[in-house]
Amino acid sequence: MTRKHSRTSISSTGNSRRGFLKLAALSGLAVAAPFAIRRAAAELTAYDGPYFVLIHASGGWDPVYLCDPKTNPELNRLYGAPASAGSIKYAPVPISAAALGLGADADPYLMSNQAFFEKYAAKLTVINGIDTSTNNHDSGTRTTWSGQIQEGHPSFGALAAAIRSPDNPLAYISSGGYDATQGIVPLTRMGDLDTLQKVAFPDIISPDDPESGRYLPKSRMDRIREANAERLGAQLEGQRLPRAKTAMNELFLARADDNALAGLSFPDDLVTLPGYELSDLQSMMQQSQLALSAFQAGLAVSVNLNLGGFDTHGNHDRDQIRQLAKLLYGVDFLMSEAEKLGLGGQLTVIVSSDFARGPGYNGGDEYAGKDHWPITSAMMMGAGIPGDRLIGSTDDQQYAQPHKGATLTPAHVHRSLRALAGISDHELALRFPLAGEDLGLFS
Amino acid sequence: MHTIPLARPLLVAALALATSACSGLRGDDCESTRDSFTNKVWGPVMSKSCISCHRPDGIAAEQNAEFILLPSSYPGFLDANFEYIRGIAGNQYNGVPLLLAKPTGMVDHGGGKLFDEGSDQYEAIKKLLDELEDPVECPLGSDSADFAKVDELDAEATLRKASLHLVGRLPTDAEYDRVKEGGDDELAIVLRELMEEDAFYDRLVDLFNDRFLTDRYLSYTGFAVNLLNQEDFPNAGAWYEAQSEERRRSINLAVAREPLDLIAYVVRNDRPFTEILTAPYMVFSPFSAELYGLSLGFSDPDDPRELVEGTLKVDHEGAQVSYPHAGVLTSPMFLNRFPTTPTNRNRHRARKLLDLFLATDILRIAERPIDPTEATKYNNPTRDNPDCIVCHKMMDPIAGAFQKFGEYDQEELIPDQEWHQDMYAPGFADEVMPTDAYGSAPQWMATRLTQDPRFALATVYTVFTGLTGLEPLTYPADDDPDFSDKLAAWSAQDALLGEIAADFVAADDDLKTAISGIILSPYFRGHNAKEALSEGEALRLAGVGGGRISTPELLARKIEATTGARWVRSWDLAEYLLTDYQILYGGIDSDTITQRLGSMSGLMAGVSARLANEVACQTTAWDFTKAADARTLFPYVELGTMPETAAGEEVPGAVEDIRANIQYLHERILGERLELDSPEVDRTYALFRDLWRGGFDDVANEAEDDWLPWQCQGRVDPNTGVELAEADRIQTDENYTVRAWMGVMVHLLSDYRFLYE
Repeated sequence: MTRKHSRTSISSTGNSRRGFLKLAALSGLAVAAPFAIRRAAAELTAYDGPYFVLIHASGGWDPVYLCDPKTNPELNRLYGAPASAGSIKYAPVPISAAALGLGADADPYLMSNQAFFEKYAAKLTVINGIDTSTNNHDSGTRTTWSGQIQEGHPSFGALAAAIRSPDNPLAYISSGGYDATQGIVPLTRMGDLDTLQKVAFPDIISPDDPESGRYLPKSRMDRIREANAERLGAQLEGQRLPRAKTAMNELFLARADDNALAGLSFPDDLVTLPGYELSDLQSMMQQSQLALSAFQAGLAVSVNLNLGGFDTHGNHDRDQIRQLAKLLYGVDFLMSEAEKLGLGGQLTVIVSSDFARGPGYNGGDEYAGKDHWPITSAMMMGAGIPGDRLIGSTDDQQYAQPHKGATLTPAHVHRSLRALAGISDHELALRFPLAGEDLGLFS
Repeated sequence: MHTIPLARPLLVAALALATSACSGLRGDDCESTRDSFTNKVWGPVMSKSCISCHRPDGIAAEQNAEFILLPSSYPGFLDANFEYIRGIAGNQYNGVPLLLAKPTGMVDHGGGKLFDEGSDQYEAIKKLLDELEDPVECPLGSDSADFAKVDELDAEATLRKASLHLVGRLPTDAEYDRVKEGGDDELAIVLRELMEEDAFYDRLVDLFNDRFLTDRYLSYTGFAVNLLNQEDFPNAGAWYEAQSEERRRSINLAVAREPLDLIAYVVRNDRPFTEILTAPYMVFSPFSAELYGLSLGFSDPDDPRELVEGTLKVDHEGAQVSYPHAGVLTSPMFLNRFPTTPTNRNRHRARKLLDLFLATDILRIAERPIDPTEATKYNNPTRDNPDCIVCHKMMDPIAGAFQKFGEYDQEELIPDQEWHQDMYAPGFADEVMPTDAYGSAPQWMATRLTQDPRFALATVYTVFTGLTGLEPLTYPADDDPDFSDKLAAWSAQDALLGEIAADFVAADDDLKTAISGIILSPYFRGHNAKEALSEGEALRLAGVGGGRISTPELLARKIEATTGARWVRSWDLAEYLLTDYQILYGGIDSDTITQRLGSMSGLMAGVSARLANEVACQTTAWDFTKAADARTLFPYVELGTMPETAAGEEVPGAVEDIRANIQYLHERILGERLELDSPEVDRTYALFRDLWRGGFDDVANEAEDDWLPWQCQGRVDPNTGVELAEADRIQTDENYTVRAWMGVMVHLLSDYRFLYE
């Protein structure tokens, strides 16, 4: 793995289009904000946390082989008794790259449950027995990350970003999972390092070359942007169809302070892992690096990360375990990098999946899979999350057991997440109400 | 050509009555019977009181009730329900229509008494029944009252937008002249001609890849080929590996693109679009034919566009077995892109078939909480648990279409593979597939899919989304505070898309008819409202007209069409917007990112800024290296054309030339036809003048270099990378006119009208 992480910071050298909105205001233009709470002429201030990373194990993971261990042989054929780290029980599944169909060079990039829970149990809250009430991937992903099974709610990441720092150009970054915004905040996807630098410094010919000049001097670029803003303002004033008006507004606001991108402090290089079979993990890790850069620059509030391959209807014992081991390595990488950057204290990480698998195998041979099962788990750690805490449970057949008299649902989890983020009573959150009561899961 | 089954008259008959936006709710003077049904019976009564039991999976259906209504999750549900109500309106009990007698409890009703005689609900149904005896008809959706408020692009401007979108070029002068003379009638003809060009088929491939996502297999050379099992397709092994890198790339492209190429082939040859599913063949290019081991007699063995029909045979237990070709359903790439497993049993594919070809989202139909404690009460929940039956009754029979394909190796044909006895029997809707059709199950299914009226709607929906960037509206929720306006918006669109679907069918399932229909609709042509809109009108026209951010693919083509140069990486001449910036600019990778971003983010704005800078830099000086009459961008000015003297006195002739070129650029880059004295020409001229004056003075004062940045010098053909002769190069800019024009280009390439459609 290549892990050069000394950071290159490129000074903005005055690459500012910050005045865009000011120009709009001077020209008498009223910018109609497309996003409900956006302050059209606000000056951007760097966002300094808390930061949220939402990690989706796409396809439906199996908590029996992670954080909700079972001794029932119909459900578990990979380990004997559950193991414990503090108050948290886990499944002590042995890991080896060869057994998981990977080359030996993959071994360093797989993390066993034992290693993960021993390292992080003191920081973890594990919630078992969450009833998603669906076996459907789309509905499950939606309810896990929005708290509502029906369409119409934004993801938690979008909601937190929209409330916490709505004017920030990178407030909500996603590389997959459920990232519906319902129009309350722009969604950003990130690319690779070189292109990000070019986009952050569009007026500089070669941002990676300190000697590189500009296409045109700054004063002339300012004049061009002034003309551009005036023209867009005139277009907006003359436009009456709502779709076009919204598009013009979005363009206006997207340009409003893209100087902020210049604050990104990029890693010198992104992680590379050996072999195609680890490309999904590599992608997750690279996205983690870029997400942390965005946090560090005060540009982002929430980030969705995604790792696929959990829909193991066949060959469950190999494929599910392999993906879980990658997932834990990826989470560990994120936490470690965040610590190095001094972001650990502000970072809240939530890991979950569409639903679960089970309650048993769908066949008798070693290649059998597990089908969809609505009772799932979630793991959280970081800022505001109590450590060494286990909430909820399932019985020996993987049915949910009541917690404080209630069957836990994603709505309960999201009520507590909103409370944790301090956004429960915000006008925007109230527009997207959640069912059930607040169980204070993180208090 | 397919026959029209039971449900087709529903669509056509309903369309004959359809109107959408002339409802009395909005104070207009025309409310059709269909609208009356929509607004006064369906919305307030049947969607609330009847549908919970009388839906296909409701308790009334379980008890074999004949009165079944489709919920809003079914495409075309309103027309189907309206027509159904028309059909049973005359059924009576003791002279009272059953539609009134049942819910008022006058006759036995499983749901009991729902409302009283004389209640609002009763009167609404009664009025509808009366009206059905002499239905009111209003203009069709495209002529509706709300659409009449939309100011549409004229024929010439529509031609420009359509030409850039469909074939990535500007119209020729001759095409403009024809359309100017002949209006929309001629426009329709020119559109058909555009749809004969190769570039149109490239666009078609992009458009359908957004749905099929098979371009995932282009992410590295060999991805598509490696999916093929080497027992059936031995050339996928050592033979392929022995080819040159360039040839392997071409082969992989041809193999990966096969289902999309079939679509292009069907459309190019003016075949009924149903053939994308019913084709008893695959199409092969010279490259894929070789890989599949076929000799098909190509006229040019190196032309990837030459497509020829062929069929596959595979070896099974020593005998050659014919592949049961059924268009894309049996495409090896389609089968791999939507794979199955021994336990999934082709259900995922069934879901995709419903979604892709019948516009039916089965997840939406079954979107309700399930009770996990119920699941284990049944030995076979997908057959016995009501929660599961909702989907599986519809999905599992369709899954049977793929019963002879391997559950481990997706494209492997296993002729003696048995269907799962614990699942519903293969079939479609209420029709069970005869066992003697099992060997040709995909073909049997393809016939049913294409005969279903939803096939036409699904096709129109795909085209609509591809051309406008919008998903078709969904029926609004009952408790939406803007229900009536959103219902009007939905109803107008539903009627219009249904109208286009009917035209598509009437034209023998001609995709080009559907494309023309969308292009000529206000969703594509609308560019403003004729007057200020009320809040309600804005809601009803929320999705109408321009405002779609250009996809990376469309924008890349627009750059080349308008500036004459592609925005490419210097080292491999690959389009930036299709490589480095594809995801950043909201595009898809057909793998993990499959949804396009519909609104501009900060990063996307950054991409557009770099685009403007780099394209302006590479095209401005380059264009000036050519003779004036050969230039793409600056035919009216020379490098010495300066607006003022060094002392600041205006140079009249020069100013006129500069303004003329600005007028020309506004039309070329933005499609904006302006008068020379328009405020926008004034604005751009002022920009040019300011940039020039500041730069000219700085150069004179040696505050700025007279050399152009190396990347912006006119020394290399930006399309080919070939360098000009030394004498022909433009490397300096003593007059500062190159950089002033570069600034104008940045201004125009950053404009809303350039970045959006």
